[in-house]
Amino acid sequence: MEKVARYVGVAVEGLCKVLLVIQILTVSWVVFGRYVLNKTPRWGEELGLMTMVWFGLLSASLAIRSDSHLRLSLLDMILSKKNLKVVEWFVTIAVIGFACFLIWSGIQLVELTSSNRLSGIRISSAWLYLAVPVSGVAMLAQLLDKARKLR
Amino acid sequence: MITNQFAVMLLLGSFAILILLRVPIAFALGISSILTAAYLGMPLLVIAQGIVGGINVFVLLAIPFFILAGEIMSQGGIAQRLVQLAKALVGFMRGGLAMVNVLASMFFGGISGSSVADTSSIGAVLIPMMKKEGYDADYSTSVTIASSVQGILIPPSHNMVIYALVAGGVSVGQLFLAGIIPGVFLGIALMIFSYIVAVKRGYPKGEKLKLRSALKALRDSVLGLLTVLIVVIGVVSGVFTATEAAAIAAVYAFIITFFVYREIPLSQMNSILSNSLKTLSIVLILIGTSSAFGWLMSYLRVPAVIADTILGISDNKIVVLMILNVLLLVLGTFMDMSALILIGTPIFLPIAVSVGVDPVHFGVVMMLNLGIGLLTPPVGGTLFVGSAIGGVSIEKLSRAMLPFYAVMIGVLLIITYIPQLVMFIPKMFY
Repeated sequence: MEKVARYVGVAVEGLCKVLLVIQILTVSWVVFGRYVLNKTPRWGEELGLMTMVWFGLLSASLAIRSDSHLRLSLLDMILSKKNLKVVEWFVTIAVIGFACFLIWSGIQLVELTSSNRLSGIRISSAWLYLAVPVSGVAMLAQLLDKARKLR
Repeated sequence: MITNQFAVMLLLGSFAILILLRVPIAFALGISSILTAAYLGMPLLVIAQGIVGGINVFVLLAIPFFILAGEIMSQGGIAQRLVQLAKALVGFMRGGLAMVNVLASMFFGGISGSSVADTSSIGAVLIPMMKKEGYDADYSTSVTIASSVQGILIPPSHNMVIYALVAGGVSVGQLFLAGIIPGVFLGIALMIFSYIVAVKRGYPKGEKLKLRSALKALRDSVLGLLTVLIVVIGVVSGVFTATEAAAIAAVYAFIITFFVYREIPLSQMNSILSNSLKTLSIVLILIGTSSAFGWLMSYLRVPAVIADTILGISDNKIVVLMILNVLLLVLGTFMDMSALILIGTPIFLPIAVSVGVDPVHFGVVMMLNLGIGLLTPPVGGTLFVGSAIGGVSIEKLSRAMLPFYAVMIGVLLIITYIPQLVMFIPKMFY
């Protein structure tokens, strides 16, 4: 599990960086096109947004791995180590529930939207919603690794 | 008035319990939205769609770019140059380095709109320098994080972009202009305060910089400072949208860092991207789940009920603004800024407008108010980063921050009740 989580983490980080670069180049190209070439490529805005949705959701799993999501730390000062561990189990299970929700509802969204087409980049809008279940899986990989370490 | 009281209690109550139990805020917002939607018998897809829809917004494309531009500049050596320039201007006074810290943050605020980025880049240069000259570690860190809030007020500022998006009909250009005087004013207040502390504690004077080195510092940093001009002039004149300005700022930062300053190799782009991604990994999911949560709040008509309650207490502008400020300060201690802008604006802005407050003015008040929230425990992004960089525990740092909170709240009250300070510059252009 540790290995899986590490590989998923590395793969997700690499993919997110690539997506971020694509987004930067796309939007810069749109701006360049608008001011210099006097035409705005229609696919530009949609591609920029789609990449942002993808790396926005996917990278949430990286912040789970590095434990950098913002949270309230009041209980840390009050509870004993043992009780804190119980709370940590609760947190992990709650977020696992959220990840499973993303997978379940994401798959439905993909099925539901597979016949819609994005007008600019002319691909199915299922590609946009595919980010939801995939991110759910990436989160789940990190969460299961966390649960294993908690044991 | 409330259509479904239990649903409201479920939404807010489950959220409160979840965050108290240390569930990360971004997920707590998502989970309580799912629970509430399930109770209401809605198709749960709505929530997943809401999360995607919250991120899938054209204006938000500005966020990765502003973060990236700030990251390129701070790794590319601009922070040191700005510190040099600030040193040339105020370093010779007693407590010089504390003032240099505030002024450098003001300059840096014109490049990056993030208080965390400001703390990590200016703090990394100045906190060690201040410690070496005999400043206390907790004081040095406090000055750094308090002054970093200027970055949110002084344009460019991605939080203002988020506010403009939710407020609807507020121009980003006007907000950018409106933030300038409050940002500089906050800096001046902090400088006066640090001067008083320095005299009291006998902190050292810095050396006087020769005119020639001062001019060199100016020449070195002027290219970086041009960013703020490009963004503000571009957006205000209507030549670019905020998103375009952000993209241009990032490209500009890239060019001057790698082709003019040439202090870092192009391969460092990898670490720049990593760091930007770290910030984005926290901010974007929060924007997604906050939008879903905020949508449910309006669906359940919570904003209208809160408005009725507050306006029921008083419809006096001064009192209402005070209530809103106190509420935002309290919420800001345990919520993150972007989440609060997304969820809080639809609730509080209509109240402010109904007693005659300009949405631009209220936006700036909200930025400073929530900026203070970034520095307060139990949840304060900038406070956490400052504690790590300065090597001071959160408890010790929060205690050292007490007088700074007082100064900042004082500034907040002044810009709340003297709207002319905020609206003066935007009125000149719009």
